Amino acid sequence: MTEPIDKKELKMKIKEILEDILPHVQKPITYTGNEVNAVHKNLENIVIRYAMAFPDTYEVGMSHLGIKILYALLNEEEDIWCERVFAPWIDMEAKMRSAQLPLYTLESTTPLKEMDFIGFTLQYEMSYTNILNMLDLAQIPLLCEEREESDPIVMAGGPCAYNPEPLADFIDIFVIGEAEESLPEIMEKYRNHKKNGGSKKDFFQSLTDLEGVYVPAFYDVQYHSDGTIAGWTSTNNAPFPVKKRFIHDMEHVYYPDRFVVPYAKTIHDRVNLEVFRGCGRGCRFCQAGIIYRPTREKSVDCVMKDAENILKSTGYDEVTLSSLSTGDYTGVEKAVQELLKTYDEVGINLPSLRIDSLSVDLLEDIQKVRKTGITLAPEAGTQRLRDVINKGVTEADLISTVTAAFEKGWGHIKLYFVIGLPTETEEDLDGIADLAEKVIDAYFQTNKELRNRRVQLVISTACLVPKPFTPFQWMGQDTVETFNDKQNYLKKRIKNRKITYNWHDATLSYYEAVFARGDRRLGKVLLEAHRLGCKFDSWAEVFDDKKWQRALEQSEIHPDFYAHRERDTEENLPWDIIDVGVSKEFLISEWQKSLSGEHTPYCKEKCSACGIADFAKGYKCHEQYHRI
Amino acid sequence: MSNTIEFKFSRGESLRFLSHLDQQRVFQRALRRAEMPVANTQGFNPRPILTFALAMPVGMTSLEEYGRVGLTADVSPEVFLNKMNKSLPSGLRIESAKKLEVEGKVPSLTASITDCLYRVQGALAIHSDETQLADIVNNILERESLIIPKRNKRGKMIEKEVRPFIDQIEILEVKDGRYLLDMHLAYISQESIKPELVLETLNQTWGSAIFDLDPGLKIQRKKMNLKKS
Repeated sequence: MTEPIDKKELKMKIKEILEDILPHVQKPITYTGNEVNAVHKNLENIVIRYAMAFPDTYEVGMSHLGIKILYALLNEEEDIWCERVFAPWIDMEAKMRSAQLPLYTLESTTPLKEMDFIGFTLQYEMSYTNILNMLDLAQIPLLCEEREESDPIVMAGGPCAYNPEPLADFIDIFVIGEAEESLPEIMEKYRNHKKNGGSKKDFFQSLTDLEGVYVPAFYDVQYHSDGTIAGWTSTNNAPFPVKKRFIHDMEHVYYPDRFVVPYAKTIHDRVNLEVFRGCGRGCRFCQAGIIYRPTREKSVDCVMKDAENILKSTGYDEVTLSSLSTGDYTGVEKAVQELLKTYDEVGINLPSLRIDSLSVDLLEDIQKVRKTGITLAPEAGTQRLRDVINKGVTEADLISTVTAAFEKGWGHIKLYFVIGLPTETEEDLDGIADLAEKVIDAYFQTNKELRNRRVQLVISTACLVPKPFTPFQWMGQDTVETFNDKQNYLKKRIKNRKITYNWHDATLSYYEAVFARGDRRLGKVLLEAHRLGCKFDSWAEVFDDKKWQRALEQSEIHPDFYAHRERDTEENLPWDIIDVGVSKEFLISEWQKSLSGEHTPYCKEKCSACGIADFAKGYKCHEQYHRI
Repeated sequence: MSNTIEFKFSRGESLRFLSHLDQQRVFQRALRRAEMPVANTQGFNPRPILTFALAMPVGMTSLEEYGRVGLTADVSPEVFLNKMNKSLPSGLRIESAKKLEVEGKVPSLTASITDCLYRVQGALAIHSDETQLADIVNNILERESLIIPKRNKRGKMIEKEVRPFIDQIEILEVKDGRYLLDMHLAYISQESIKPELVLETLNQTWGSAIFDLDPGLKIQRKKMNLKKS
C-alpha cells in the first residue's frame, strides 16, 4: 500500500495548517507527537491502520495504562500500525474547526477518516460527548447507520463498555473485558476480511463466533409500556449474553517493554508496573471489584523484569505498583525491597492502599526523601455503614494507621468517603465528622518529639453513583437536593481549622448515574447534547448543566427513570446483555446481605462462590495467589 | 567539577514547542537512557547536576545552545555525544561536547554569554520592501536611547532602556508581506532582552506597527557567543 498523491498533499496541507495554529494554543507540544518510543512504520508493509483514541486530553489519556498496553500490543504485529489520538482542548478545537482541519493521528498526522479502526477507551461516563465530538471533528458520521463502507470501523472497550447500551448507536463493535487476546483475534478476522472482500456487515458477522465481542446492531430491544425492558432478540446468530474475556495467566500475558514518553507533564508521569488484576475484597459499591474478577497476580520476578525493561527504555526515575488495591498484593513488600535494592535513585509509588493492609513501615521505606501525604479510604463514617458496604475496616484500624503515620512524621492525611450509600442516616454523616476529629486527636496524642509540626486533614466526599454489576445496581440514587443537603450538613459539622472539607458536584454524579445504568434510548440524548455543544463534561470549567437539561427535554427522556428509580431484582437490566462471570444470584444475595450489614469474607480467606470460578472452565482462583 | 561535560546542542522545528521545563526533563531522561553516570546535588532533595546557558522559550528553534552536566565517572566527550544522540528524540541534537578542564570555581554558562544572534520571520504590518524597511529600522537605531514601558519581575511597570542591548539588525528579505531579519543582541551584566521586545520597541518608537507581533512569529537562535575561558 503506497500513499496516493492526493493523500500526501492533504498531509502536507495539514502540517501547514498546524504550523499556523499551534503557536496560538495552550500546550502545543501535546498535538505534535514524535515522543520517544512513539511507533512509526513504513506504510508499504501496513495492512491495518488503527487509531487508539482516548476521549479526553493528552495529559489525561497518556496517563492511562490500558491504552499503553494495547498500543504496544497492536504494534507488535508487523502489518498493523496503531497510532494515538486524544481530544483537543477547547482552544485547539476552535482553531481546527475554523481552519477545517480534520482530527488527525499523532504519529503520522493522518486524518482519522483514513483509518481502518478507531478504538475508544471508555473510562468514565462523562467522556461520552467527547467521543461524538471527536468523530465529528474527524468528519466521520456519528451514527453507525449513517457511516459508509469507506468510513472507519468504530470500536470501544474499557470499564464503561460493561454497560455498552448508551453508546449502541455510535459504536460498531464493543470489546468486552480484557482485550489482550480478543483484539488480536478481531484483527485476524479483519485481515481475512480485507483479503476476501465483502461488506462491513460481513465482517461484523464473522465476529459473532468470538467471545467478548458485542455488535449492538445484531440485537433488538423490546420495552414494556412502563419503559422497562421486555426482552432482547439477537439476530445473525449473535451470542446472548456476550461473555467477557479475561486473561487467565498474568505471568505470561503480553506487557510492553517500552512506553511512549510524553514531553508535557501528564497526570501519572512514571512507569506503571501492573502487579495484579481484580480484587477479592468485595466492597459492595465498587464496580471494578466485580467486573475485573478473578484476582490474578504477577510474580515479583515478572514485575522486576517489566521494571528493568521499561526503566531502561524510557529513562523514567519513578515507578508505580499499580492495581486496584496494591497493599493486597502478596508480593508487595518483596517487590518494594527488590526495587529499592536494584534502583537506588528510582522513586516508588504505592497507590490504592487499604487502611488495614497499609504498612506504614513500607511507606517510610519508599518516602525517605519527602513525606508527601497519605490517602486512606474509610468510605463511610460508622461501623454500621461500613458493614453495609462490606468495607471490612474498623475505626481502630484507621486510628492505629494514622497514629503510626504521625509517629513517623507524616502531617498530611486525606480521607475519602462516599455519601448516599444505602441506609445512610444523619448518624453516619456525624460519623464522618467525628472520625475526622478523632484523627486530629490522634495527632495531638502523638509524642511531640516524633510528630510533624503541622497537621492537615482533608476530608473528601464523593456522591454514590450506583453502577451496573454491583450489589447496588438496583437502588435509586439520592437526589441532587439530598446530596446538597448532606454536603451542607457536613460543611456545618466540620469546623476545625485543621480539617478541610472537599465535596463532589452532585449534578455531575447525577448525570453519571443516568449514563452508568442507561439504555439504548439515551443515544439521542448524547446526540442532542453534542449538538448543543456539550464536551469535556468531567471538567468543571466546561460542564454546562443547562445544555444537558435542554438535551434531555428535547429528547423527551426522563433522567430520573435511570438515576432515582429503585429496580426490582426481577427487572431486565440493560446490561444483562453482558455476562461478567459474577452471577446475578450472588449480586442479589450481596444486596440483601448489605441491608442487614452482613459481612462477606475476602476471597483470599474464603470463597463466597461469586460465580467466576464456574464461568471459566478449568479456572481455579486460588492457584493465582501462591506463586510469589 | 572534575567530571563536567559542556555540550553544544540544537533544537529543530519538530520540538520547537517544548517548554524549558519539558526540555530539562527530556535531557534528564535521555541521560538515564544513555546510562550516563550523572552526579546529583547534595542535600535534602538531590537533583541531577545539569545546567543550561539560557532557557528556551516555547516556539523557538536554535542552532546553538549550551549545557553542562556533572558526572560521577570519566566519560569521553565522543562517547557522550554518540550515546546522547542515540538517546535524544529527533529534534534535539548534541553538536559538540568537551570536558571542562578548569580547576576551582568555573564561571557559569549564563555568566559567559556575550551576545546572541537571532533570525526572525514574521508578517509585516506595513507595505514595504527591503530597502524601505531597513531605512525605517536603521533610522530608529540611530537614537542613543530607546525606552519602553515593561513589566518587571515583580509585575510593576517600569521604563526599560533597551538600546544598549541592540547591536545590529539586518533586513534579509521582504516578500509577500513577510520579512526575514537577523538581530544581534548583546548581554550586559548577564542581562539581555527578547527579540519580541525589540520588535515592540521599534513599533512603539515608529508610532504605529511595523511588525505583526502575533504568536505566529518564528524565532531561531542562530548563535550564542561565549567568553573564551
